[in-house]
Amino acid sequence: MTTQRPHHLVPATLSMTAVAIALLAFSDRVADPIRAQLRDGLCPGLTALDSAVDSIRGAVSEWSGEPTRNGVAKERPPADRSGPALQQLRAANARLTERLANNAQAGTFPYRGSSSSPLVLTELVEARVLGRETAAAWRGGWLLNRGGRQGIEESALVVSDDAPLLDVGRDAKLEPGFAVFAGRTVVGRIRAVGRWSSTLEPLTAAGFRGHAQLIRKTSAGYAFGATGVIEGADQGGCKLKMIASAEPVSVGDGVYTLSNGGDFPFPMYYGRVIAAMLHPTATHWDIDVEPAAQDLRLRVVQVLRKRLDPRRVDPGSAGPRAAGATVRLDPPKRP
Amino acid sequence: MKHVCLAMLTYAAAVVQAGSPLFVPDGETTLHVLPAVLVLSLFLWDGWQAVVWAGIVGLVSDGLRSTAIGSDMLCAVLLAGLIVHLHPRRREFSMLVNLPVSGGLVFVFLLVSRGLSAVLSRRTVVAGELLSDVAVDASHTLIAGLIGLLCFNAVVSLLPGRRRRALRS
Repeated sequence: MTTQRPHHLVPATLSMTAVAIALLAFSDRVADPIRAQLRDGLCPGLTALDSAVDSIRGAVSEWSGEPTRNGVAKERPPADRSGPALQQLRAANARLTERLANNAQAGTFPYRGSSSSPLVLTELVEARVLGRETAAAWRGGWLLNRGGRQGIEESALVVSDDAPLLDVGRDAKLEPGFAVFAGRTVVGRIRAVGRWSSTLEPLTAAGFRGHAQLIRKTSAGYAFGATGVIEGADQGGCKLKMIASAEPVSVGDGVYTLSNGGDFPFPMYYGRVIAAMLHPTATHWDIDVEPAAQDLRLRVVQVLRKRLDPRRVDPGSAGPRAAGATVRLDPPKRP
Repeated sequence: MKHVCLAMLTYAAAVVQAGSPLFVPDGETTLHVLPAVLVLSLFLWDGWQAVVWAGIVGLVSDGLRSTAIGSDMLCAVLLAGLIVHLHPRRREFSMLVNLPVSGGLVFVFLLVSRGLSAVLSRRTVVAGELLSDVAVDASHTLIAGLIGLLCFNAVVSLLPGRRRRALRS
Protein backbone atom coordinates (compact mmCIF):
# COMPACT_ATOMS: atom_id res chain seq x y z
CA MET A 1 0.00 0.00 0.00
CA THR A 2 1.41 3.36 -0.95
CA THR A 3 0.50 6.74 0.49
CA GLN A 4 -0.27 9.45 -2.02
CA ARG A 5 1.90 12.51 -1.49
CA PRO A 6 0.25 15.95 -1.67
CA HIS A 7 0.57 17.76 -4.99
CA HIS A 8 3.00 20.64 -5.44
CA LEU A 9 4.56 20.03 -2.05
CA VAL A 10 8.16 19.87 -3.22
CA PRO A 11 7.98 22.94 -5.52
CA ALA A 12 6.22 24.95 -2.80
CA THR A 13 8.78 23.94 -0.18
CA LEU A 14 11.70 24.67 -2.48
CA SER A 15 10.40 28.06 -3.57
CA MET A 16 9.57 29.18 -0.03
CA THR A 17 12.99 27.95 1.12
CA ALA A 18 14.59 29.95 -1.67
CA VAL A 19 12.68 33.07 -0.57
CA ALA A 20 13.80 32.55 3.03
CA ILE A 21 17.43 32.08 2.02
CA ALA A 22 17.27 35.16 -0.21
CA LEU A 23 15.88 37.17 2.73
CA LEU A 24 18.68 35.86 4.94
CA ALA A 25 21.28 36.73 2.33
CA PHE A 26 19.99 40.28 1.88
CA SER A 27 18.88 40.73 5.47
CA ASP A 28 20.86 43.93 5.92
CA ARG A 29 18.98 45.63 3.09
CA VAL A 30 15.46 44.27 3.41
CA ALA A 31 15.07 43.71 7.14
CA ASP A 32 14.35 47.31 8.15
CA PRO A 33 11.68 48.06 5.48
CA ILE A 34 9.89 44.75 6.13
CA ARG A 35 9.96 45.24 9.88
CA ALA A 36 8.80 48.85 9.58
CA GLN A 37 5.81 47.79 7.45
CA LEU A 38 4.96 45.00 9.87
CA ARG A 39 5.23 47.24 12.91
CA ASP A 40 3.04 49.88 11.31
CA GLY A 41 0.52 47.18 10.41
CA LEU A 42 0.47 45.87 13.96
CA CYS A 43 0.14 49.36 15.46
CA PRO A 44 -3.71 49.42 15.53
CA GLY A 45 -3.88 45.97 17.11
CA LEU A 46 -1.22 46.81 19.67
CA THR A 47 -2.94 50.10 20.52
CA ALA A 48 -6.22 48.25 21.03
CA LEU A 49 -4.48 45.65 23.20
CA ASP A 50 -2.80 48.40 25.20
CA SER A 51 -6.12 50.14 25.80
CA ALA A 52 -7.73 46.87 26.83
CA VAL A 53 -4.89 46.09 29.26
CA ASP A 54 -5.13 49.60 30.74
CA SER A 55 -8.88 49.28 31.17
CA ILE A 56 -8.55 45.92 32.89
CA ARG A 57 -5.74 47.19 35.13
CA GLY A 58 -7.75 50.27 36.00
CA ALA A 59 -10.78 48.18 36.86
CA VAL A 60 -8.70 45.80 38.98
CA SER A 61 -6.98 48.68 40.77
CA GLU A 62 -10.29 50.39 41.41
CA TRP A 63 -11.70 47.17 42.77
CA SER A 64 -8.69 46.55 45.03
CA GLY A 65 -8.40 50.22 46.10
CA GLU A 66 -4.83 50.55 44.85
CA PRO A 67 -3.81 54.12 43.90
CA THR A 68 -3.34 54.63 40.15
CA ARG A 69 -2.00 57.31 37.86
CA ASN A 70 -4.25 58.03 34.90
CA GLY A 71 -5.81 54.63 35.22
CA VAL A 72 -2.47 52.87 35.02
CA ALA A 73 -0.89 51.23 38.02
CA LYS A 74 2.18 53.17 39.04
CA GLU A 75 5.47 51.82 37.76
CA ARG A 76 8.10 50.47 40.05
CA PRO A 77 10.63 53.00 41.27
CA PRO A 78 14.03 52.97 39.60
CA ALA A 79 16.71 50.70 40.97
CA ASP A 80 18.88 53.65 41.87
CA ARG A 81 17.84 54.50 45.40
CA SER A 82 18.86 58.14 45.04
CA GLY A 83 15.75 58.78 42.98
CA PRO A 84 15.08 61.12 40.08
CA ALA A 85 15.00 64.25 42.25
CA LEU A 86 18.54 63.72 43.45
CA GLN A 87 19.75 62.99 39.91
CA GLN A 88 18.21 66.24 38.73
CA LEU A 89 19.69 68.19 41.62
CA ARG A 90 23.12 66.75 40.96
CA ALA A 91 22.94 67.73 37.31
CA ALA A 92 21.75 71.23 38.22
CA ASN A 93 24.43 71.58 40.86
CA ALA A 94 27.19 70.45 38.49
CA ARG A 95 25.98 72.81 35.81
CA LEU A 96 25.89 75.79 38.17
CA THR A 97 29.30 74.90 39.55
CA GLU A 98 30.68 74.83 36.01
CA ARG A 99 29.19 78.21 35.18
CA LEU A 100 30.48 79.67 38.42
CA ALA A 101 33.97 78.41 37.64
CA ASN A 102 33.79 79.78 34.10
CA ASN A 103 32.70 83.18 35.36
CA ALA A 104 35.42 83.25 37.95
CA GLN A 105 38.03 82.32 35.37
CA ALA A 106 36.95 84.52 32.50
CA GLY A 107 35.47 87.37 34.46
CA THR A 108 32.47 89.36 33.38
CA PHE A 109 32.37 90.42 29.75
CA PRO A 110 32.10 94.23 29.61
CA TYR A 111 29.56 94.23 26.78
CA ARG A 112 26.13 92.85 27.18
CA GLY A 113 24.87 90.66 24.33
CA SER A 114 21.27 90.42 23.25
CA SER A 115 19.68 87.00 23.37
CA SER A 116 17.89 85.57 20.34
CA SER A 117 15.79 82.50 19.80
CA PRO A 118 17.88 79.38 19.06
CA LEU A 119 18.08 78.04 15.52
CA VAL A 120 17.56 74.43 16.58
CA LEU A 121 14.65 73.70 18.87
CA THR A 122 14.76 70.66 21.10
CA GLU A 123 11.49 68.95 21.84
CA LEU A 124 10.34 65.90 23.68
CA VAL A 125 7.72 63.78 21.93
CA GLU A 126 5.65 61.60 24.19
CA ALA A 127 5.41 58.00 23.00
CA ARG A 128 3.62 54.99 24.36
CA VAL A 129 5.30 51.60 24.63
CA LEU A 130 3.20 49.12 22.69
CA GLY A 131 5.18 45.93 22.85
CA ARG A 132 8.51 44.30 22.50
CA GLU A 133 10.56 42.61 19.84
CA THR A 134 11.33 39.01 20.60
CA ALA A 135 14.93 38.08 20.98
CA ALA A 136 16.67 34.78 21.48
CA ALA A 137 18.85 35.03 24.53
CA TRP A 138 19.04 38.76 24.94
CA ARG A 139 16.78 41.74 25.30
CA GLY A 140 14.91 42.95 22.27
CA GLY A 141 13.84 46.49 21.55
CA TRP A 142 10.56 48.07 22.60
CA LEU A 143 7.93 49.12 20.10
CA LEU A 144 6.71 52.73 20.33
CA ASN A 145 3.60 54.27 18.86
CA ARG A 146 5.38 57.24 17.31
CA GLY A 147 7.24 57.19 14.02
CA GLY A 148 8.51 59.28 11.16
CA ARG A 149 5.19 61.11 10.90
CA GLN A 150 5.85 62.64 14.32
CA GLY A 151 9.38 63.70 13.41
CA ILE A 152 11.11 60.84 15.18
CA GLU A 153 14.52 60.04 13.75
CA GLU A 154 16.89 57.15 14.19
CA SER A 155 19.41 57.36 17.03
CA ALA A 156 17.30 59.92 18.91
CA LEU A 157 17.68 59.47 22.64
CA VAL A 158 14.71 58.36 24.70
CA VAL A 159 14.12 59.35 28.30
CA SER A 160 11.71 58.13 30.93
CA ASP A 161 8.51 59.98 31.58
CA ASP A 162 9.20 61.00 35.17
CA ALA A 163 6.84 63.67 36.39
CA PRO A 164 8.52 66.99 37.17
CA LEU A 165 9.76 66.61 40.67
CA LEU A 166 11.55 69.86 41.36
CA ASP A 167 9.91 73.02 42.48
CA VAL A 168 12.91 75.30 42.25
CA GLY A 169 13.43 77.66 39.39
CA ARG A 170 13.79 81.39 39.28
CA ASP A 171 14.77 81.64 42.91
CA ALA A 172 17.68 79.28 42.20
CA LYS A 173 18.64 81.20 39.02
CA LEU A 174 17.63 78.25 36.86
CA GLU A 175 16.28 78.80 33.39
CA PRO A 176 12.89 77.45 32.31
CA GLY A 177 13.05 73.80 31.37
CA PHE A 178 16.38 73.12 32.95
CA ALA A 179 15.21 72.10 36.38
CA VAL A 180 12.46 69.95 34.98
CA PHE A 181 14.35 68.13 32.27
CA ALA A 182 17.90 67.90 33.50
CA GLY A 183 18.70 64.60 35.13
CA ARG A 184 15.97 62.59 33.47
CA THR A 185 16.73 58.92 33.10
CA VAL A 186 17.92 57.82 29.67
CA VAL A 187 16.10 54.69 28.63
CA GLY A 188 17.74 54.09 25.26
CA ARG A 189 17.63 55.42 21.75
CA ILE A 190 15.52 54.98 18.62
CA ARG A 191 16.84 52.15 16.48
CA ALA A 192 14.40 52.00 13.57
CA VAL A 193 11.62 54.34 12.51
CA GLY A 194 8.48 53.44 10.63
CA ARG A 195 5.68 55.71 9.51
CA TRP A 196 3.61 55.35 12.67
CA SER A 197 5.85 53.34 14.94
CA SER A 198 9.46 52.93 15.92
CA THR A 199 11.66 50.69 18.03
CA LEU A 200 13.55 51.66 21.11
CA GLU A 201 16.97 50.12 21.66
CA PRO A 202 17.47 49.76 25.41
CA LEU A 203 20.48 51.24 27.12
CA THR A 204 21.69 47.75 28.00
CA ALA A 205 21.54 46.36 24.43
CA ALA A 206 24.83 45.24 22.96
CA GLY A 207 24.75 47.81 20.17
CA PHE A 208 24.03 50.84 22.34
CA ARG A 209 26.78 53.47 22.47
CA GLY A 210 26.66 57.05 23.59
CA HIS A 211 28.81 59.83 24.93
CA ALA A 212 28.79 60.02 28.70
CA GLN A 213 30.20 62.18 31.42
CA LEU A 214 30.83 61.55 35.07
CA ILE A 215 29.45 63.82 37.75
CA ARG A 216 31.28 63.46 41.03
CA LYS A 217 31.08 65.09 44.40
CA THR A 218 33.76 67.61 45.26
CA SER A 219 34.29 70.02 48.12
CA ALA A 220 32.65 72.74 46.00
CA GLY A 221 29.60 70.63 45.24
CA TYR A 222 28.95 68.36 42.30
CA ALA A 223 31.22 68.80 39.30
CA PHE A 224 31.50 67.39 35.82
CA GLY A 225 34.28 64.86 35.51
CA ALA A 226 35.83 62.90 32.68
CA THR A 227 33.96 62.14 29.46
CA GLY A 228 33.84 58.69 27.88
CA VAL A 229 31.65 56.29 25.95
CA ILE A 230 28.90 54.25 27.57
CA GLU A 231 28.14 50.86 26.00
CA GLY A 232 25.44 48.30 26.63
CA ALA A 233 26.93 45.16 28.13
CA ASP A 234 24.01 42.93 27.09
CA GLN A 235 23.73 41.38 30.56
CA GLY A 236 21.51 44.03 32.10
CA GLY A 237 24.40 46.41 32.72
CA CYS A 238 26.59 48.94 30.96
CA LYS A 239 30.29 49.66 30.61
CA LEU A 240 31.84 53.10 30.67
CA LYS A 241 34.91 53.18 28.44
CA MET A 242 37.58 55.60 27.28
CA ILE A 243 38.06 57.16 30.70
CA ALA A 244 41.77 57.81 31.05
CA SER A 245 43.54 56.30 34.04
CA ALA A 246 44.64 59.78 35.19
CA GLU A 247 41.01 60.81 35.77
CA PRO A 248 39.49 60.39 39.23
CA VAL A 249 36.68 57.83 39.33
CA SER A 250 34.93 56.39 42.34
CA VAL A 251 32.03 54.05 43.00
CA GLY A 252 28.77 55.97 43.27
CA ASP A 253 29.66 58.65 40.71
CA GLY A 254 26.74 59.57 38.48
CA VAL A 255 26.96 58.98 34.74
CA TYR A 256 25.16 61.54 32.57
CA THR A 257 24.98 62.62 28.94
CA LEU A 258 27.39 65.36 27.95
CA SER A 259 26.59 68.73 29.45
CA ASN A 260 27.88 70.65 26.44
CA GLY A 261 27.72 69.65 22.80
CA GLY A 262 25.75 66.48 23.45
CA ASP A 263 22.38 65.42 22.11
CA PHE A 264 20.56 67.09 24.97
CA PRO A 265 20.89 70.71 26.00
CA PHE A 266 21.00 69.47 29.59
CA PRO A 267 22.69 66.44 31.11
CA MET A 268 20.44 63.38 31.37
CA TYR A 269 21.04 60.50 33.73
CA TYR A 270 22.35 57.12 32.60
CA GLY A 271 23.08 55.49 35.95
CA ARG A 272 25.81 55.23 38.54
CA VAL A 273 29.22 53.65 38.78
CA ILE A 274 29.07 50.37 40.70
CA ALA A 275 32.59 49.10 40.04
CA ALA A 276 35.75 50.79 38.80
CA MET A 277 38.99 48.89 38.28
CA LEU A 278 42.34 50.09 37.06
CA HIS A 279 44.89 47.47 36.16
CA PRO A 280 48.54 48.42 36.75
CA THR A 281 49.40 48.58 33.05
CA ALA A 282 46.05 49.82 31.76
CA THR A 283 45.68 53.27 30.22
CA HIS A 284 41.92 53.40 30.77
CA TRP A 285 39.53 52.55 33.57
CA ASP A 286 37.32 49.46 33.45
CA ILE A 287 34.03 50.82 34.78
CA ASP A 288 30.71 49.03 35.35
CA VAL A 289 27.60 51.19 35.34
CA GLU A 290 24.23 50.25 36.80
CA PRO A 291 21.63 51.80 34.46
CA ALA A 292 18.85 53.59 36.31
CA ALA A 293 16.35 52.51 33.67
CA GLN A 294 16.93 48.78 33.87
CA ASP A 295 14.14 48.06 36.33
CA LEU A 296 11.64 50.58 35.04
CA ARG A 297 8.44 49.12 33.65
CA LEU A 298 8.05 51.41 30.71
CA ARG A 299 4.63 52.47 29.52
CA VAL A 300 5.22 56.03 28.41
CA VAL A 301 8.55 57.49 27.33
CA GLN A 302 9.69 60.72 25.74
CA VAL A 303 11.75 60.93 22.58
CA LEU A 304 14.06 63.84 21.91
CA ARG A 305 13.69 65.43 18.53
CA LYS A 306 15.34 68.45 17.05
CA ARG A 307 13.97 70.75 14.42
CA LEU A 308 14.86 74.08 12.97
CA ASP A 309 13.03 77.02 14.43
CA PRO A 310 10.59 78.04 11.66
CA ARG A 311 10.71 81.66 12.84
CA ARG A 312 14.45 81.74 12.19
CA VAL A 313 14.34 79.80 8.92
CA ASP A 314 11.28 81.47 7.43
CA PRO A 315 10.11 84.45 9.48
CA GLY A 316 6.87 84.65 7.47
CA SER A 317 5.46 81.31 8.54
CA ALA A 318 5.38 79.39 11.76
CA GLY A 319 5.74 76.09 9.89
CA PRO A 320 3.78 72.92 10.38
CA ARG A 321 4.00 71.22 13.70
CA ALA A 322 4.11 67.47 13.71
CA ALA A 323 1.44 65.62 15.59
CA GLY A 324 1.99 64.40 19.14
CA ALA A 325 2.25 65.96 22.53
CA THR A 326 5.46 67.97 22.62
CA VAL A 327 7.29 69.98 25.19
CA ARG A 328 9.86 72.54 24.13
CA LEU A 329 13.17 72.66 25.92
CA ASP A 330 14.60 76.16 26.03
CA PRO A 331 18.35 76.03 26.44
CA PRO A 332 19.78 78.28 29.10
CA LYS A 333 20.30 81.85 27.95
CA ARG A 334 23.89 82.91 27.65
CA PRO A 335 24.79 86.02 29.59
CA MET B 1 -12.70 31.15 4.41
CA LYS B 2 -9.91 29.17 6.03
CA HIS B 3 -7.35 31.60 4.63
CA VAL B 4 -9.23 34.59 6.06
CA CYS B 5 -9.51 32.92 9.47
CA LEU B 6 -5.83 32.02 9.53
CA ALA B 7 -4.84 35.53 8.42
CA MET B 8 -6.86 37.00 11.29
CA LEU B 9 -5.38 34.48 13.70
CA THR B 10 -1.86 35.29 12.50
CA TYR B 11 -2.48 39.01 13.07
CA ALA B 12 -3.93 38.40 16.53
CA ALA B 13 -1.05 36.08 17.43
CA ALA B 14 1.51 38.65 16.27
CA VAL B 15 -0.18 41.36 18.35
CA VAL B 16 -0.28 39.13 21.43
CA GLN B 17 3.34 38.04 20.94
CA ALA B 18 4.62 41.62 20.56
CA GLY B 19 2.41 43.06 23.30
CA SER B 20 2.68 40.25 25.84
CA PRO B 21 5.46 41.86 27.94
CA LEU B 22 2.99 44.63 28.75
CA PHE B 23 0.43 42.41 30.40
CA VAL B 24 2.39 39.51 31.87
CA PRO B 25 3.10 40.04 35.57
CA ASP B 26 6.90 40.08 35.34
CA GLY B 27 6.97 42.50 32.40
CA GLU B 28 9.64 40.43 30.64
CA THR B 29 8.13 37.20 29.36
CA THR B 30 7.15 37.01 25.72
CA LEU B 31 4.36 34.61 24.86
CA HIS B 32 5.38 32.91 21.62
CA VAL B 33 1.98 32.40 20.05
CA LEU B 34 2.95 32.38 16.39
CA PRO B 35 4.27 28.79 16.42
CA ALA B 36 0.76 27.72 17.47
CA VAL B 37 -0.59 29.28 14.27
CA LEU B 38 2.10 27.42 12.36
CA VAL B 39 0.90 24.13 13.86
CA LEU B 40 -2.70 25.05 13.14
CA SER B 41 -1.90 25.64 9.47
CA LEU B 42 -0.55 22.08 9.30
CA PHE B 43 -3.88 20.73 10.50
CA LEU B 44 -5.95 22.89 8.16
CA TRP B 45 -4.33 21.84 4.88
CA ASP B 46 -2.80 18.71 3.46
CA GLY B 47 -0.35 20.01 0.91
CA TRP B 48 1.44 23.05 -0.39
CA GLN B 49 -0.92 25.53 1.28
CA ALA B 50 0.41 24.44 4.68
CA VAL B 51 3.97 25.12 3.57
CA VAL B 52 3.10 28.54 2.15
CA TRP B 53 1.27 29.51 5.32
CA ALA B 54 4.20 28.26 7.40
CA GLY B 55 6.40 30.60 5.39
CA ILE B 56 4.08 33.55 6.00
CA VAL B 57 3.89 32.85 9.73
CA GLY B 58 7.68 32.48 9.82
CA LEU B 59 8.10 35.80 8.04
CA VAL B 60 5.80 37.54 10.53
CA SER B 61 7.75 35.95 13.36
CA ASP B 62 10.96 37.24 11.75
CA GLY B 63 9.49 40.73 11.58
CA LEU B 64 8.98 40.78 15.33
CA ARG B 65 12.56 39.84 16.04
CA SER B 66 15.62 42.01 16.28
CA THR B 67 17.92 39.54 14.49
CA ALA B 68 18.46 38.63 10.82
CA ILE B 69 15.26 38.28 8.84
CA GLY B 70 14.48 34.96 7.16
CA SER B 71 15.69 32.54 9.82
CA ASP B 72 12.26 31.82 11.29
CA MET B 73 10.79 31.56 7.81
CA LEU B 74 13.41 29.02 6.80
CA CYS B 75 12.82 26.91 9.93
CA ALA B 76 9.05 27.07 9.54
CA VAL B 77 9.07 26.11 5.85
CA LEU B 78 11.48 23.21 6.29
CA LEU B 79 9.63 21.87 9.32
CA ALA B 80 6.26 22.20 7.63
CA GLY B 81 7.53 20.50 4.49
CA LEU B 82 8.96 17.69 6.59
CA ILE B 83 5.78 17.19 8.63
CA VAL B 84 3.52 17.28 5.57
CA HIS B 85 5.80 14.78 3.85
CA LEU B 86 6.27 12.38 6.77
CA HIS B 87 2.87 12.61 8.40
CA PRO B 88 0.37 12.87 5.54
CA ARG B 89 -2.47 11.28 7.51
CA ARG B 90 -2.22 13.65 10.47
CA ARG B 91 -5.60 15.27 9.76
CA GLU B 92 -7.37 11.95 10.22
CA PHE B 93 -6.52 11.98 13.94
CA SER B 94 -7.87 14.26 16.61
CA MET B 95 -5.81 17.15 18.00
CA LEU B 96 -5.27 15.25 21.25
CA VAL B 97 -3.59 12.41 19.37
CA ASN B 98 -1.52 14.96 17.52
CA LEU B 99 -0.60 16.91 20.64
CA PRO B 100 2.84 15.23 21.06
CA VAL B 101 3.57 15.91 17.40
CA SER B 102 2.49 19.55 17.80
CA GLY B 103 4.53 19.96 20.98
CA GLY B 104 7.58 18.43 19.37
CA LEU B 105 7.15 20.62 16.33
CA VAL B 106 6.91 23.81 18.39
CA PHE B 107 9.92 22.78 20.49
CA VAL B 108 12.04 21.98 17.44
CA PHE B 109 10.93 25.17 15.68
CA LEU B 110 11.87 27.40 18.62
CA LEU B 111 15.13 25.52 19.22
CA VAL B 112 16.32 25.62 15.61
CA SER B 113 15.19 29.20 15.11
CA ARG B 114 17.03 30.44 18.21
CA GLY B 115 20.09 28.39 17.48
CA LEU B 116 20.18 29.77 13.95
CA SER B 117 19.71 33.33 15.21
CA ALA B 118 22.56 32.87 17.67
CA VAL B 119 24.81 31.51 14.93
CA LEU B 120 23.90 34.32 12.52
CA SER B 121 24.52 37.02 15.10
CA ARG B 122 27.70 35.27 16.31
CA ARG B 123 26.54 35.06 19.89
CA THR B 124 27.41 32.44 22.44
CA VAL B 125 24.48 30.67 24.04
CA VAL B 126 24.58 28.21 26.89
CA ALA B 127 22.96 24.97 25.73
CA GLY B 128 21.27 24.28 29.07
CA GLU B 129 19.74 27.75 29.29
CA LEU B 130 18.64 27.60 25.67
CA LEU B 131 16.93 24.23 26.15
CA SER B 132 15.16 25.29 29.34
CA ASP B 133 14.06 28.60 27.80
CA VAL B 134 12.78 26.84 24.71
CA ALA B 135 10.94 24.25 26.82
CA VAL B 136 9.19 26.98 28.82
CA ASP B 137 8.30 28.95 25.69
CA ALA B 138 7.08 25.81 23.92
CA SER B 139 4.80 24.98 26.84
CA HIS B 140 3.41 28.55 26.72
CA THR B 141 2.86 28.14 22.99
CA LEU B 142 1.05 24.85 23.43
CA ILE B 143 -1.23 26.27 26.10
CA ALA B 144 -1.92 29.29 23.92
CA GLY B 145 -2.50 26.97 20.98
CA LEU B 146 -5.01 24.87 22.88
CA ILE B 147 -6.85 28.00 24.01
CA GLY B 148 -6.78 29.25 20.42
CA LEU B 149 -8.10 25.93 19.17
CA LEU B 150 -11.00 26.06 21.63
CA CYS B 151 -11.80 29.62 20.52
CA PHE B 152 -11.50 28.57 16.87
CA ASN B 153 -13.90 25.66 17.41
CA ALA B 154 -16.29 27.96 19.26
CA VAL B 155 -16.26 30.41 16.34
CA VAL B 156 -16.70 27.59 13.83
CA SER B 157 -19.66 26.20 15.73
CA LEU B 158 -21.38 29.58 15.44
CA LEU B 159 -21.05 29.61 11.64
CA PRO B 160 -23.87 28.42 9.36
CA GLY B 161 -23.73 24.73 8.41
CA ARG B 162 -22.48 25.20 4.87
CA ARG B 163 -19.62 27.49 5.86
CA ARG B 164 -18.78 25.21 8.78
CA ARG B 165 -18.46 22.22 6.45
CA ALA B 166 -16.36 24.29 4.07
CA LEU B 167 -14.06 25.30 6.90
CA ARG B 168 -13.60 21.77 8.19
CA SER B 169 -13.23 20.10 4.81
